[in-house]
This record gives sequence, structure tokens and C-alpha cells, in this order.
Amino acid sequence: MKTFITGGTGLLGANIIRELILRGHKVKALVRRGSDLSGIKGLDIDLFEGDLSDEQNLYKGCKGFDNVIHAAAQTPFGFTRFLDFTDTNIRGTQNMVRAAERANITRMVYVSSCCTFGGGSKECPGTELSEFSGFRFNSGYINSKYLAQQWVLAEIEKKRLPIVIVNPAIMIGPYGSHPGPCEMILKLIRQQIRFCPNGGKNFIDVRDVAIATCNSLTRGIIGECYLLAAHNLSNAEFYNKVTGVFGKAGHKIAVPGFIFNTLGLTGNFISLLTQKDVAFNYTSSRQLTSESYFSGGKAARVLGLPQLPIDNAIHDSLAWHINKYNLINNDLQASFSIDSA
Amino acid sequence: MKPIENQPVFTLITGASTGLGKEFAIEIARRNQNLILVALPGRNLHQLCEELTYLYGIRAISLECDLTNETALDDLVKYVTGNFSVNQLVNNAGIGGTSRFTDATCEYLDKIIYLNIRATTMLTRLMLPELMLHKKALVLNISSMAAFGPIPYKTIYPASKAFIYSFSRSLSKELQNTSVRVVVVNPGQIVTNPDVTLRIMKQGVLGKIGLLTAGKIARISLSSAENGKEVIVPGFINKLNRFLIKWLPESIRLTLLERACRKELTIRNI
Repeated sequence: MKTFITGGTGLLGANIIRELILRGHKVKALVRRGSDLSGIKGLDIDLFEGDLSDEQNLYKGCKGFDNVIHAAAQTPFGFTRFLDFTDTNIRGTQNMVRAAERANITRMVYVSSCCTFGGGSKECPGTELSEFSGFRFNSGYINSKYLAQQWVLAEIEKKRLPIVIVNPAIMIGPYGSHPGPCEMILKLIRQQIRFCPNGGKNFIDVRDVAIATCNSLTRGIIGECYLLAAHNLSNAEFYNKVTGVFGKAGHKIAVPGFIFNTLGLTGNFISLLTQKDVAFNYTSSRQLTSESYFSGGKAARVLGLPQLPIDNAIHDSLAWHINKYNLINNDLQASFSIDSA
Repeated sequence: MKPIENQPVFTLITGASTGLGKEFAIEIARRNQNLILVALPGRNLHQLCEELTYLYGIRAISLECDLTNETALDDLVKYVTGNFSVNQLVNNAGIGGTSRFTDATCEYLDKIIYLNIRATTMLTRLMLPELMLHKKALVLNISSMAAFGPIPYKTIYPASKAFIYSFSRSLSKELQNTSVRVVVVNPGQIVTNPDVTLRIMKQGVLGKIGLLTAGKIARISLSSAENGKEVIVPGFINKLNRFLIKWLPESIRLTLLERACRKELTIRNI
């Protein structure tokens, strides 16, 4: 089997590539010029230089391949202009889908996001049937991912393209070229987070997501979406898990959501006055304090999604990032070593 | 004849694979009613039924059928009435679009007329004997805000929705002494529509005014129908809009709409 992958240097992509190699696939990864390749260092794969803006180049890249896994996306971490989201997440996806269609790919897996569905409570978590409710966050990332998914679904319906969609929750684990969602873990152990807002999210080991994504090359049903979700944890529960894994109890002060939201609004106000982006704004505070729980039941039944404990993922994510960024003193590094090759 | 007592009762929904129809299916499944879902082939309707069965423990039957095909529609009704006991019919399947009338092909126009007008009429007519067997039965027809006034460049669509509105209101009165209630829903623009989504994304909060999600419309429709409403216009802004349409002179309204819809013709791609 020959598989072409986009977003291969990212947290999920690097793990998918490892899973594909395990399964004996010949892998070609799209990489941008100057990309940080540390997440896929030493792996036996072909690199293909280019980006998502060039459909013809993408076509050249995936021509003759059996599968395409489109895992590249502009993620919401750090400062991002609204246009970056539409360019990469919508236009980039359109280009990849069109290129794969022209190259007569047998199966494509499109990595969307759980945010394209409405989250629920712990008792009644969101499923693939829960309607999108993300406009209230006014987030370029969420809106662009939703629009892209709508477009892909419409294309599948129109042309019966062989595409399966997977919607991962918040992924934790090793090998990312930038920390992404694991940034929160790093902030926690650096004691940069002292307050704990209410709200909560679904967390999953990135390697479980990688396995389910590779499984959907053969097992998923075309035109279906699969939520790759595992553990519903409140912010406090997640913080406790991290401090538990790290072995150092750090007490976090519980703060009601409205205080965070007020700070977020202040951020917007400052941004309005200074005409500059502010890291913490109403969009991020609303997301942080929201409860957005999901069920990965359908993926577990149909795709064989593993849902291993998150503690392992937190441990391995920490170990990788500590090694990668030389974060803390050497004693800590020693107690957190894994094979980074 | 099939015995009515102790038999599972079903709700028949057309156009159930996406959008409003799918949300009606989910809401009705949540209310513990069994479902017969109808949609075009190739829409993963079977998977939807499986999920609904799994999540809500109801029976959900998927039937793939092109309702613009007369024979297929007849066969569908024969199969449904021959095998299931149905007490609710949701006529949701419908299509529409924006294009110059001179650019529209006859096939395109025929499709709108056949689906929006003929399928709704015939399904209602053919299912009525079955519905009347029940102590309480409901026909829920999906019209649109477009039913309340003409719209240039959409021509046939508002006309077809006006047909559904008028048809539903007449039939409702005609059946007042039977067990069957006829309810018509007139939703405004729905968030699921990609054009609408893009507008929201571009305009931020302002673009969201007056918009409801399909799920919200389905919930409002079902609870209003339970409360005895016969004409349902979900959302305050839409109610206000209906009032304005009534009192604004048609010539002014048409001039405003002509400009807006002509713009829509030019911005089509994401």
C-alpha cells in the first residue's frame, strides 16, 4: 500500500506515519520548505516538498498512490490571522480533495475536528448526530473546519468520492513539531497556570487517533464522520492528571468561568484600542470555560478506536517535549526519557 | 386490514439524510417514536438509521427513493402502508436555488415542481387513509418564509413554497373533524446552508441575527405542533419579517430583493 500524507510533521501526522510504517505502507509526506522535521526524524519515508496552495503540485505528489490522509490544518495555537484559516483549512482542503480525485485515489481520510459537532455534558456527550454549535465562539479555526467539512461532505455526495472523515478530540502525546494542544501540559508543569476555570473537554491519546485514522483506510464507510474521542475530563480533572503524572502536586485555584470571560473581553477591548492581536481574548476564554464532551462510541464500534488511559499519553507527551525543548533541568529529563527516534 | 392496537407506530420523514429532515429524525427519535426515513440513494441513510437505533433504542427504517419519480413514489407508499403503521408524516424533502429563469433548464424546473409540489401533495393524499386509522395523527409540511412573498431569481421556489402553505391551510380546515391535524412550518434561512455559513463567517455576530439552526427549528416545530399551533414561523426575527412582508408594498419589496438576489448570483464560490 502506498499512502500520501499531508500534515505529516504535526502531532497527529507524525504518529500516523509511524502507524503506517508499522503496517508496511510506503509513505510519502508533504512538507513545507523549512518545516521542523524533528517529529519524523529518522523515519523511512519520502518527503515531498510543497504546500496546500498548489493543486497541481499536490496532484503530482499523490499520483500513483492508493491512499491520501489529509491531516494538515492551520491549528488555533498562537496568533493566526483569520485568512490563514480559510486559506489552509478550506482552500487547502479543496485543493487536496480535487488533486486526489484527479489522481484516482482509492481511499482518502480527511482529518476534521470534533468541534464540527456540538459538544454535550458528561451524562449526554455529543455524538456525530449532535448539531454544530460552534458559531458562538466566533473562532476562525472552528468556523473554517466546519465549512471545510461541509464542503467535503457535499463533494462526497455529489461525486461519490471515496472519502471518510475522522473528527479527533484534543490529542495528547509525543512527536509533534510544535506542542499544539500539549502546550497546556507544559504550562502546567512550568507552573504558568495557577487558576482553574470550570468547563472541560474530551482528551485522547494521539496514538489511538493514529490507529483509528489508519483503520479508516479500510474499515470506515464513505461519507461518514467518526468522532475520535475518549476521555471526558473537566479542566480540574485534567490538571490533576497532569500534576499526578508529573509527580508534583500543584494546587490550582478554582475560578468561575465569568471571571475568565471578563478577562477575555478585556483582551478584545485592548486589541480594539491597540489594533493588535491579543493572546487571550473572548474567543479563547469562551472555549476554555465551555463544557464540550464527546462520545467516541461509533468509532470504537466501526473503526476499532482504542481508548487507552490518558495518563500514558500525558507522560509520553511530557517526555518528548522535555527532550525536544530541553525544558527543565537534567534530573527531570532523565526521569522522563523515551526513544525520540 | 392490519390491527392497529399493540403495533409499533412510525413517523415517515422525507429528505431525512441531511439538514432539517435529519434534525427532525433526531428530535423524533429522542421522543421515542419509531422512524421511516426517506432520502435519495447514496446518502448514507442506512448509517443514520443504525446510529438512531443504537442511541435511542427505536426502530428506524431507511428507504431510498427518488420522490420525483412517480412510480417510485407509488411503490414507496405501497411498501410503507403495507408493512408499517404510520401516524405522522413530515413532508420535508424540497429543493431550490438561485438562478436566472432564462438560465434554468426545464429539467431543473421540473425537479422543483415534482419534488416540492407533486411529492408533497401525493404523499399526503396517499398516506391519509393510513393516518386516519389513528386516534391522533399529524401531517407536518415544511414550507418556507419564501411562501409569504415572491423572490426574483428564485421564482419557482417561493411559488412552490406558497403552494405548500396554501395547500396545508386548506387541508387543515377540511380535516378539522378528523383525527388528522395538518401543520405547516415556515422556517427562515437555516444555518446548515453553506452560503449562510460563509456569510456568518464573514460578518461575525451581525450575520447571525435571525438565523436558527436546523435542530432548533425542528424542536420549535414539534413542540409548537404539540401545543396546537397550525402555522409555525420559528424565531422572532422571522415573525417580524412576516409582518413586514405583509405591510410593505410589494413593488418596494421586489426592488430590494431583486438587488440582493442578483448579488447572490455573482458570489457563489467559497
